[in-house]
Amino acid sequence: MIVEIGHFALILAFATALAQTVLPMWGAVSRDPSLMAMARPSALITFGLVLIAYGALTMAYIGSDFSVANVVMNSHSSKPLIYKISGVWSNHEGSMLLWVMILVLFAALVALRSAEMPERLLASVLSVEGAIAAAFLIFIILTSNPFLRLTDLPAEGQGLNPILEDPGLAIHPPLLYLGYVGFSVAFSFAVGALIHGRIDAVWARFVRPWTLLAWIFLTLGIAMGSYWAYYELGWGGWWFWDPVENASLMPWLMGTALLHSTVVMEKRDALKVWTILLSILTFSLSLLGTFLVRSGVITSVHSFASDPARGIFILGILTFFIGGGLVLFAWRGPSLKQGGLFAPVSREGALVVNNLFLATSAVAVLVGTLYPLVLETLNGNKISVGAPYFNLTAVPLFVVLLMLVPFGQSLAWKRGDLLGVGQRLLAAFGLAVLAMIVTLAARQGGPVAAPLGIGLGVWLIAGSITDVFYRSYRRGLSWSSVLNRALGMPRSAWGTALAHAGMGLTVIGISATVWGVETLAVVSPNEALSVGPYRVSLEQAFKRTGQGFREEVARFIVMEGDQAKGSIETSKRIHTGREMPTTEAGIVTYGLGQLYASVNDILPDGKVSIRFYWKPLVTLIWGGALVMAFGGMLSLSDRRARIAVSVKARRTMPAPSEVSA
Amino acid sequence: MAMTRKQKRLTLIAAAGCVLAVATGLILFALSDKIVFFYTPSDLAKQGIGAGTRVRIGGLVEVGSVQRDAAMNVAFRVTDTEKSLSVTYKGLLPDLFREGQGVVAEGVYEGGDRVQADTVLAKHDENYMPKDVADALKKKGVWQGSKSP
Amino acid sequence: MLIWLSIALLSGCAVLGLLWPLAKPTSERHGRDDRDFYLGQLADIERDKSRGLLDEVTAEDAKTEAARRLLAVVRDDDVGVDPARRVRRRKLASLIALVCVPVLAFTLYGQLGSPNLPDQPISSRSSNLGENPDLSMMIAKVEARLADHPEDGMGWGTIAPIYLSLGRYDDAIKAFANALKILGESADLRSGLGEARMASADGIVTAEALVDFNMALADDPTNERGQYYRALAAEQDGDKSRALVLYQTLYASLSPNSDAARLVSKHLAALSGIQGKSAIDPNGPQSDMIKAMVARLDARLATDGSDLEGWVKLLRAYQVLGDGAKVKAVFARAKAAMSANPDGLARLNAAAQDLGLSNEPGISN
Repeated sequence: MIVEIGHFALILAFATALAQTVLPMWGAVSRDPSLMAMARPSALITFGLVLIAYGALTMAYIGSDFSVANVVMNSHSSKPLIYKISGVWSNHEGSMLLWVMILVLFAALVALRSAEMPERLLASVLSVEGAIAAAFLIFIILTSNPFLRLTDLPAEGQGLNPILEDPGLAIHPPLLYLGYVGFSVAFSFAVGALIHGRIDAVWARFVRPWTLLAWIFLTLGIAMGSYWAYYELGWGGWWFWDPVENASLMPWLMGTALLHSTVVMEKRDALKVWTILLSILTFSLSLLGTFLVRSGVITSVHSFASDPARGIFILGILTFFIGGGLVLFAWRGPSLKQGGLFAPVSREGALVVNNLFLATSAVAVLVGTLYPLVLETLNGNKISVGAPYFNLTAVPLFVVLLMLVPFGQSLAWKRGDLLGVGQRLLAAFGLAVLAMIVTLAARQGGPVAAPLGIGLGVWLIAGSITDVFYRSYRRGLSWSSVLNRALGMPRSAWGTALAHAGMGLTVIGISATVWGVETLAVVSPNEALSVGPYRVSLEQAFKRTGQGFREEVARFIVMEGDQAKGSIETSKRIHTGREMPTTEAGIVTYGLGQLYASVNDILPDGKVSIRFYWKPLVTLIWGGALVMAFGGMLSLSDRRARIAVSVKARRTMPAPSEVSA
Repeated sequence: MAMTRKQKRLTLIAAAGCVLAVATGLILFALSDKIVFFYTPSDLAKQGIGAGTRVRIGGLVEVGSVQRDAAMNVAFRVTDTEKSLSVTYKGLLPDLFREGQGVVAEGVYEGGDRVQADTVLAKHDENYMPKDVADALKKKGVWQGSKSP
Repeated sequence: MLIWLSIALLSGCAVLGLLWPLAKPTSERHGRDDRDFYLGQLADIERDKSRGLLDEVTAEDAKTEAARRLLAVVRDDDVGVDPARRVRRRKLASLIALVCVPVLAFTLYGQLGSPNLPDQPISSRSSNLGENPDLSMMIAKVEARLADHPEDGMGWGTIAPIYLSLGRYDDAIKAFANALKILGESADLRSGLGEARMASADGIVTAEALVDFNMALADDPTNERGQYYRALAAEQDGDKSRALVLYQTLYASLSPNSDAARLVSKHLAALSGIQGKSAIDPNGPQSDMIKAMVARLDARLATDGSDLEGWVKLLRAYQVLGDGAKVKAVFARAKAAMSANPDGLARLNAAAQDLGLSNEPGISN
């Protein structure tokens, strides 16, 4: 019965989502406060119902209810509990349900955190959220229903795919979806503003925390996915410009632009129309990502194929929302009150440059991702657009953008003093050049791009430090009061500095991959190999069994000079019941670098054919992303970035006449 | 520093124009130069591709054709059931690389039927076959599609 | 009944929740508006200035701007609304929430739901699993043992038929194959492998499965399973006379009142002339299994019609099941699916001829 209640709740959620779309919007258009007030409860009810549906499906998974077709296909009674739970979203139907649940969760959060929001804006926003939810709910109900039942019960489920039983893969989709779907809030705000015909700093202030939240999750999701590919696919690559990866990178780039343009809008009441467009485009790219992944339209290492009916349905949803958003923008956009213009050399000018580069690079990635599809549709030619394309298009744009970041960060609002900023950044620049020269000298050989990349990373970090320093330092102040001023800086300023420095760390990590050492060899027991600064020797190769698998393990001793540092294990694993071997890479972290071992073959005579990498500073790639996300969280926690104006601030607010006096 | 409204607007447009022009140029150049075409072995034979071109080929690994040596060099043949190509590769093969299974290899076409691959991709899981390969083979009536429940 | 009560309750709560704001009396000003925001912003600026984060000039600039926007907002205030229209509008909205939402939900659910199916979590199902309530536990144990000792041929031989009976055909094929590899040739295992292949091919004795049965019979000519499926293969191929002979031979060797004998006698009865009747006992366990397989194949072909071999299989299957109407319908569907493929159509027609389908004019050209 629980399953059927879940199924009914899902269908009822579709109906209430429709009500959530129609009634508050009607209220907003006719300015009826009672109808507008329906927005909040309807969003909460829709969320509650989807939650019931999701909970029911999870129960079916946990209890291994094989009367549910979806459970039969994707679960097995002997799976560990954690993978029964994550099994819910490891398949198409369940992951779409998770997608919608996160969508309605965001709508419910908006409804709950909106005490300070103008009612008309709230009603329009929740109405648009309701429309998106309704579209995806009917998609699930009609084409991907996870609640379909079997009368003829099989004794066991078929979903015992050990490859998919991995903690990284279990957490990755929810994180990514939180990011993707979070941008729907910005989209809804944009459409709401367009319907409203009014957009100003209020709007920007309400939309910014949601954009920031989505951006944080997307950043973490991308980093997580990248690390998963790094350790699981067994060849040490961390980014493949794979269409599925691009699908998450594009909304990230656009969302980063959006994040910066809302700042301009909030502080200077400018870039309004552009920000609206960015909001629409960011979520459009999220939807496109969902379409690319879910429709199976693209060949990729991650894709799981699906049937075309679903693809066409999602394409319909995609066209409706992207097309609808853009048409509304074209129609209502020009009637929005234009914001002010500003001097090119100023913080806001710099942020425009940031937007320009980010949006352009997102387009470059988009072209590279869609071009093969378009070409195949047009003339049947099959091509692959890989790293060389992206290295030539998106990467130079990133590099120029990152070189400009410290300038923008240090410029003042309204009228910036480029010369002054240049002088302040002199120290940072010197540091960057020094880093370049040192790395160039220390690492003779290797491409020149790598020291330049290191320099760029140092430049970003030093730029952030400079910014913090000059915000708090005044001539004549004691060091302790400078420190106090620094600590008293708004958390959003710290967030900016950390996020930019985090980007610098990632850049350093990426640049250092050039100096990675790869060693391929066939070794006998006790034979030593040198890998970068370490020596490894094969201790032994042996067989081992674990829960549900057997494996052949090669264990190596790691030595630095004559000192033993530890051991590293890598194995070929064969899972019971599935004659599918997997390679388990061995990874050991030393400092910021990692030693990465991947066994190729264990030969009958005890020799081992193996691939070793030494990857200096590689952890910075993901560490930098964590720092970026942390910066985002700091910024989010800034009282002023939150939706509510604090009680204290309201109590002490001066009358307007006093202010303008 | 006192710029008129018009000047400000022009500066903005000029800057945007420059970036967009450069980006468009890069994209067009990259699309003409940095993309790799996908061929099946018979396509490659038919279309007269010049030696030295970067290609991506796909098909099934011919049964019994895989040869490995101690230095981790691998040679195998890729077939689309009509024609086949000899592929050489140095390095680790993907876990799911197996005889009789779908494979995609990218590398330099050396003329004749030889390809020196630098990347080899096998199918990702039991249900997944590289789409290029699946399409090409489906046309020839070999592959019957993923098994339905 | 409980299920209907529960979902009625659920819809009731949802509708009430939706209607809640309409029931509340409307106050003059609902919630906050933009004014409060700018007042808050002014306070923010003041606070930052007092903490020394903004200098005097910047703060004044910012305050002037915020105040200017505040004035703009105040000017653009709401317009009045006609109360009569408001009442009408609310009535209509209540009607939508009260009627449309539940009607839509119940209609859709009526189409898609299965309200009468109870939950069947595995813990409550143990009795349905048949002889052994802890079958899955037992399987898990054997699997764990096999993981440690993949060389245990007896283990593979034990678990293979269990996989087969559970419908895990691919696992069954692997297990039988492993057992054969380790224990050497055995008619039982070999015919089991054939049976698993047959099951995995939706109930059709494929050429591959037939090879296994023939090997089993070469090893032990009296192997009953091998004999039965060899006969079935002939029957499925439309070679009725051969099938008849094979069934008769098998029947002679069976003890007359066994289940196996009854099964074979059904085939014999069907083949020796009682036309139009089902060739397979419509209530037998074999028939259920085959019907389920055929239904699956049918469903797959309905979505992907390009599989010629599948169509032929399906035709044969319905022929075997003695469902003449279905055979005709499937033949028509197959022709439609193959219409764009003249080569496939020709092969389809040839196969239909083999099956003895009446050759209507216009088909065979």
